[in-house]
Amino acid sequence: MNRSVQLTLALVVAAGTLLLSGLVSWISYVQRYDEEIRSGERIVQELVQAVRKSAEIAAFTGNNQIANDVVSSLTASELVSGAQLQGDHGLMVAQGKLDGSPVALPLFAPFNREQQVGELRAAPNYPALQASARRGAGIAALWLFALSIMTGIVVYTAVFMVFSRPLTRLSRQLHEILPGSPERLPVANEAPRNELYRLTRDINGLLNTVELVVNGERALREHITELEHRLRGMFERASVGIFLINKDGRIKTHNPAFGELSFHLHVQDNWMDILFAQPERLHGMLQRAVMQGQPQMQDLQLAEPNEGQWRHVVLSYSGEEQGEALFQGLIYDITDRKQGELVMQRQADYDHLTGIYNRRAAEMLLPQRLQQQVMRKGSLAVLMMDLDRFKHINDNWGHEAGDQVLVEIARRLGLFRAPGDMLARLGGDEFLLVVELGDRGQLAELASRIIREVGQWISIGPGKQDYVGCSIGIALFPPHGRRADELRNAADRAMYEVKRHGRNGYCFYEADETLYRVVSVEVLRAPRED
Amino acid sequence: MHRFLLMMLALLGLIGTAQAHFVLIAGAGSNIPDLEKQQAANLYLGKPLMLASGVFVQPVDVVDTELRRDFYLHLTSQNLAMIDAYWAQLQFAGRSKPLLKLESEQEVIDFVRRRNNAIGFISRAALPKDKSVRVLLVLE
Repeated sequence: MNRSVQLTLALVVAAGTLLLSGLVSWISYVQRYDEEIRSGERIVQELVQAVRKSAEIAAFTGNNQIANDVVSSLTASELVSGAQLQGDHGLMVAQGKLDGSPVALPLFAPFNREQQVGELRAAPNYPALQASARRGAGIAALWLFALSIMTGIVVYTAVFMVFSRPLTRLSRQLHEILPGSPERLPVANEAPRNELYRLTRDINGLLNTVELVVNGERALREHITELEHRLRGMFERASVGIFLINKDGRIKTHNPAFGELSFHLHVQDNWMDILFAQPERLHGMLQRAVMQGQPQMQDLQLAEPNEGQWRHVVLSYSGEEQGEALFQGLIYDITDRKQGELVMQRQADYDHLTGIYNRRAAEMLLPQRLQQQVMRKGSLAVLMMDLDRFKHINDNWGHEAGDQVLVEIARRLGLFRAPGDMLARLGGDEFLLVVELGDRGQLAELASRIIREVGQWISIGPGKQDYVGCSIGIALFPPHGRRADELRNAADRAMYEVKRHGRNGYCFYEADETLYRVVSVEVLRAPRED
Repeated sequence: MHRFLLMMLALLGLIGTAQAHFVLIAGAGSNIPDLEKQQAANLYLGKPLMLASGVFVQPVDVVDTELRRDFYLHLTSQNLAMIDAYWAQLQFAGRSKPLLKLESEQEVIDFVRRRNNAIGFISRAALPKDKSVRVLLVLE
C-alpha cells in the first residue's frame, strides 16, 4: 500500500476515464447506429416518394421508359439495393436485389386516387447502410471517447497542478525535515492563500513548537546527564562505601569502595554474618531503622580474619520498591581511628608506669562492680594499700629507683588478683585492690600474704636491694557502705588506723572507732646478699 | 338594376358552361364499345386501350382551348395547365407522342368517320343528325 497520492490519483482518473469513456462511447455507438439505420430507411422512403409521380405515370401508362428511369434513379442511390416497378399492361421493371423488407408504395392513376395502377418497391441496401452506420457511429463514438479522455487528462492535470503535486512536494519536504531542527517548509509569497497554504503555515507552526519542546528537552537531558555523570563519579570514586540492601541484607547495588571495604564478601547473600564479628547488631540496626524512621549508625568490628579492622556503618530506611523494603547504607573504614581510640583509652585508664588501672579507671570501674554485685547479691571487699619506707627509697636511691619499686610492687600485687578482681594505682604509693570475697577470715589471710610478699627484697640496680612495707585497710560491701565513695572512705579510714598503729599490718573498718583492731604481720626476709 | 342583370347573366353563363354537354364519339362502323367515364379519362391521359381486334384506340384532341378546357374539366376535374404538364412529362420522359389535335369539331367528326379505332369529343350540340358517328359516352 505504499502508493503515492499522485500515482493513485493517476490510476483512478485513468481507470475512471477509460471506463466512463468506453461506456458512453458504446451507448452512443449503439444509439447512433440505430439512428443511422432508421435514417437510411427514411431516406429510401423519401427517395421512393420523390419518384412517386413518375412511377405513377409509368405504371398508369405502362410506360417502360419512365419505369426504367424511375427504377434506375432509385438504384443509383447507394442506399438502395434494388427496386421494382409494377404497373398496368404487364409493366414490370426490376433492378438489383429485392430481399429484406423493401419499402412498398402503392401507385395510383394520375388525378384519381382511387384507381390503383401498380406498386413501387425499393429495398434499402442494408449492408451499405450498416457500413455507413458503423462508420458514422464509430466516428462519433471515437470523438466522444477522445473527448472524454481529454477531459480526464485536463481534470487530472488540473488536480495534479493544483493539489497533488504541491501536496507531494509538501510531503517530501516535510519528510526531510528533522523534528527539532530549525528547518521549515518553504512558503512562497505568491502562493494562493488556499488550504495547502494554510496547511503549510500550520505545519511550520507545529514545527516551531516541536523545536521549542525538543530543544528544551535536550537541554534538560544534557543537564540530567551531566548531573548523573557527576553523581556517578562521586558514587564510583567515593572512599566511602555506598550500598542499597533489602531487609535480608542482600545487596541491590553498591559502589566500588563498598566492595573493597567489605573484602568482596558481599557477593554472598549472608555477607553481613561473615564480615562482622557481631552481625546481630547490624540486623538490629535494620529493624530500628524501620521502627524509628531514623538513620542508625554504629562502629562494628570485623570478624576473623579481619578482626583488627573496624567499620562505621550508617543504615537508613529508604522505603519500599516493588513491595520490598530497601535500606541505604554507608560504610567507612574507621580502623585507624578505632585503634587510636583504643590506645588513648588505654593511656587514659591505665597507669603508664605500672600498667595497672589508674585512679580515673578505678573511680569509673568500682561503681560498675558494685552494680554487678547488687544484681548478683554477691559481696566485695575493697583493700586500700599504702607503702611504707617509700620516701626513704626515693631519697636514698633516687626517683628511678622509686619507679622501679612501684613497678615491682604492682607486679607482686598482681599475683593476688583473681579473675574479676581489680587492681589500680591510685597515685604515689597508694594502691587499690577489689576482690570478690566477703569472708573476713579469707580476707585476713589474703592481707597477710600480701604484706609478706610486698615486704620481700626489691632489686633496684646491680647489687642494690631494699624493701618497703605495706599498710592495708579493708572495707566490706555491703556492710560498710553501698556506694563506691563510702567504701573507699571506709577503707581509707581503716588504713589510717593501721598507719597510726605501726607498719606491716591490716585492719577492717569499724563504724565505732573504739572497736578497731589492727593486726600486725611479721615479715620474714632472707638475709641480704651484699 | 344593371348590376343585377349582369350578375344574372353571368350566372346563367356559368350554368350554361357547366351544363355544356360533351359527347365522346366514334365512327359508326367502329367496334369500340361504350365507355365508362373512367375509361374515357384513362384514354385521354395516355393510357393505352387495345381492342379485341388487336388495335389500340386512338383518342384525338382539339385545338380550341375553351372546348378542351371544359372537356378535361368534366372528364378529369383537372385544369388544362395540369393536363398539359402531365403530357409534357409523359412526352419528355416516356417518349410518348402527344394526342393528335384537330382544328374543329367537324374535323373530329370527319376523323372518327374515317378511322375505326379513333375516338373524339365534341359538344353535344355539334353532334350530326345522321348515324355516321356513334356516341360512346355522354358527359353532362
